[in-house]
Amino acid sequence: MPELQHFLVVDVGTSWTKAFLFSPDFKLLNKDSCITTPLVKEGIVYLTNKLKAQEAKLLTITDKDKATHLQSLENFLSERAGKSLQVLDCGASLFKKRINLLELLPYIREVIQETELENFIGNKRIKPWTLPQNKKELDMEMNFFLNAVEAEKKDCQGVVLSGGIFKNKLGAYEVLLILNLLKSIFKEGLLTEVFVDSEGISSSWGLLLGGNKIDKELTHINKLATVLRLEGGGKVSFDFGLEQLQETPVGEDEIILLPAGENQTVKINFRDKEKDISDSVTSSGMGIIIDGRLPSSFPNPIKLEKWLASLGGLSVI
Amino acid sequence: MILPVTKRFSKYDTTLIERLIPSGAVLSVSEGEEVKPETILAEGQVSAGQRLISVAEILGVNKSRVGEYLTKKIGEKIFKNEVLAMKKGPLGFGKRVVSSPIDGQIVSVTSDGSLLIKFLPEAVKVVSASRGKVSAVKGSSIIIETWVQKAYGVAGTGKLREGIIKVVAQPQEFILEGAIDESCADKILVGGASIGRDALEKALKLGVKGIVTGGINYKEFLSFGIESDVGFTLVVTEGFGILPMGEDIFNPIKQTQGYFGFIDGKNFNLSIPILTEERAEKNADKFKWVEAKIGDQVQFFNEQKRKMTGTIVSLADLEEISEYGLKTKLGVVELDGKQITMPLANLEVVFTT
Repeated sequence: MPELQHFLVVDVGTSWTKAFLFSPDFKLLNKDSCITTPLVKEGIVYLTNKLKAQEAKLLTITDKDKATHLQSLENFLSERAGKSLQVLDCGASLFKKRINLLELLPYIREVIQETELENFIGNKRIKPWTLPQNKKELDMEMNFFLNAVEAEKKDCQGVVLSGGIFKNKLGAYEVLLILNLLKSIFKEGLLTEVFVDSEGISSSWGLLLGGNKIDKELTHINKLATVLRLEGGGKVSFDFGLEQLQETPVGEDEIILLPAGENQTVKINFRDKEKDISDSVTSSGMGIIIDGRLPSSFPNPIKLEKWLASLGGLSVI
Repeated sequence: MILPVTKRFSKYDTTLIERLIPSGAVLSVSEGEEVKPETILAEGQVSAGQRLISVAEILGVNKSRVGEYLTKKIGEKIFKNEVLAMKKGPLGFGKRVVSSPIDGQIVSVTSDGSLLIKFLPEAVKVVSASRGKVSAVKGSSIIIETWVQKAYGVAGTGKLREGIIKVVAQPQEFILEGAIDESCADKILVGGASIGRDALEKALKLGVKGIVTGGINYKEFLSFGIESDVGFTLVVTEGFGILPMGEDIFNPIKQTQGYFGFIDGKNFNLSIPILTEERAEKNADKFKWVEAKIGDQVQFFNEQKRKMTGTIVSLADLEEISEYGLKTKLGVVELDGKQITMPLANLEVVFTT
C-alpha cells in the first residue's frame, strides 16, 4: 500500500510567503510557527527547500486563485456552523486601496498628524513586508486594514477575519476596531459570529478543502466572540440554562461584554426596533458583546477609554 | 528567515544610457564604437519650428494692409528684439511697434494679418557625456553602455533627465525654497531629509532637471501623479516623511558635485558616469535575498526614523510576542555597544561591493 503523502502548501501573498506543512490526514505539522518570508521568487525556493525533506506534495497558491480557496473555506465553515459566514482577507494587498485616512485618526491612541499616517502608509506601499516597530505603528496598521477591507455579503451571519495582523496579540483595542468593521458592514439586530484566523492559514485550508472535500479538524481559526449590534441600546435577556433569566440594559453608545463559558449555549432575547427577536448561540472566545453605539457615534478619548474598559482591556487570543 | 540585501550606492556599475538625437542631426558614431565623454555622437542644424505674430491685431490695422507697416522684407533674417513692424500715430503720438521675440527668418504674411517667422536653425552637438561603447543606434537615440557610480532610491517619478550635480542641503536639512536659485537651472539637486511644495514649485519654475532627496511627504509625492512627468524628475532615497539621506548615499554623491549625471524617476536611481578609463565588473542586481545569520551587517530605521547600521547578534528560531503585541521572529542588533530587539523583517543586509 503506497505511503500517504504530506502536503506542503506555499501561499504567495502580497508581502509575505507562507508555507504550511500538513500531514496526510490534514493536521498542521509546523505548528510552532508557519514559516514565513517576504515575497520574492527566492522566498518560495527558500521555503520549499526548507521543508522538502518531508517529501510532501507541493501545492502553491498565488493571488490569482486566492479568492477560490477562500470561497471553499467559506462554504466549509458556513456548512459546519449552520450559518452563512464570510471570510474577509485583511492582507497586505489592501495597502493598494485608497481610503479616507482622516477617519482613522480618532481611533489611534497616540496623537498623530494625518501626514504621519499618510507617510506610514506610503512606506508600507514601498516595503509591505516590514512590520510595525511600536504600538503606534501597530495601531495605524490595524486601523488601516480594518477600514480598507470590504465585505461583499451584508446579509451573512458571521465573519472569519484573516491576515497577518491577526497573528498579533488581540486585546480590547483590536476588538473595538473589529466592532467598528462590523458596524460598517452588518445590519442592526443581527447576531454575528466573529472568527479569527490566527496563522494566516485560510487560503491554505481552503485549497485543501476544495481539493479533497472531506471533513477535517479545523485549527488556528478561533472564535473571537458573538456580537449583537443594538443601535441606541435596549434591553437584552440571556438564558444560560440556569433557573433565572439574566437581563441586561444596554445604554446608547455603550458596549457590554458578557463572558460565557466555552461551548455554552445561550438563548438571547432582545427587541429590535419594533419586534422581539429570540436566537441562540454557542458561546466561546470572549463571550457575547452587545454594541449599543449608533452609526453616527464619534469617538473621543473619554468614550474610547470607556469602550476599551467595557471590553475588558485584556488580551483575548 | 531571509532578508533583503539592498544595494544603495554602487561605486562601479554598468548601465545603458540613452542619448536623444534631435531630428535633422547627423550621427557621427556607429554601433560598437568606443566613446569618451567628449565624443560627439551627432551634430547638425536643427530648427525648432516657426511662430506666428499677430501684427494686424497689435498695430490695430486692417489685415490686408499689414505689408505697408513692415520694416523688414519677406525672406530677411531677423534677430530677437529687432523691430518687425511699426505704425506712427497722428502728429507722432501713439506710435505702435512690433518686435521679434526670436531669432528667425520672415517667411510670409498670412491672410489673417499675422507674420510667420521661422526659427533660425541652431547648431547642435550631442556629446557622449560618458565613457563606454555604443551599444545600439535607434531612430532618434543612441544607447551607450557605460560605467557609472549609481545611487539607488526607493521611490521616484519623472522621465530620464540629465544635468550637472549640485548639493543644496546636508542630509538632515530640509531643501528650502531659498536654497534653490538661478544657479540650479538645468542641474540635478541633491541632499536633504525632505522637500516642501514651495521648493518644488520653485525648482520647476527655474528649470531644475531633477532632485534626489532623502524623504518627502507622501501626499506631496502623490501630487506628482503616478507614472507621469511634471517637468523634472524626483528620486527619494529613504522613504516618505522627514528622512535624512543616508550618509552611504550622500557622501559619495557629494564627491561627484559638478559632475554630469542622469536621474531616472522610473527606476529610482541617479547614475554618474565614470570619466576615467577604469573598468569594473558588472554588479549584482539591486535586490537579492539572503538567509539572515549572526554577524550580518544590517540597516534599519530606528524609532526616530533615522537610518542605522548594526550587526545581528542573535536570531530567534520561533515567533515571539514583542512588548507591544506583535507576533513575529525577532532579532537582536548591536549598535554602538547597545542591543536593540526588533522584528527581523525590518532589517536589510548591507550590500558591499
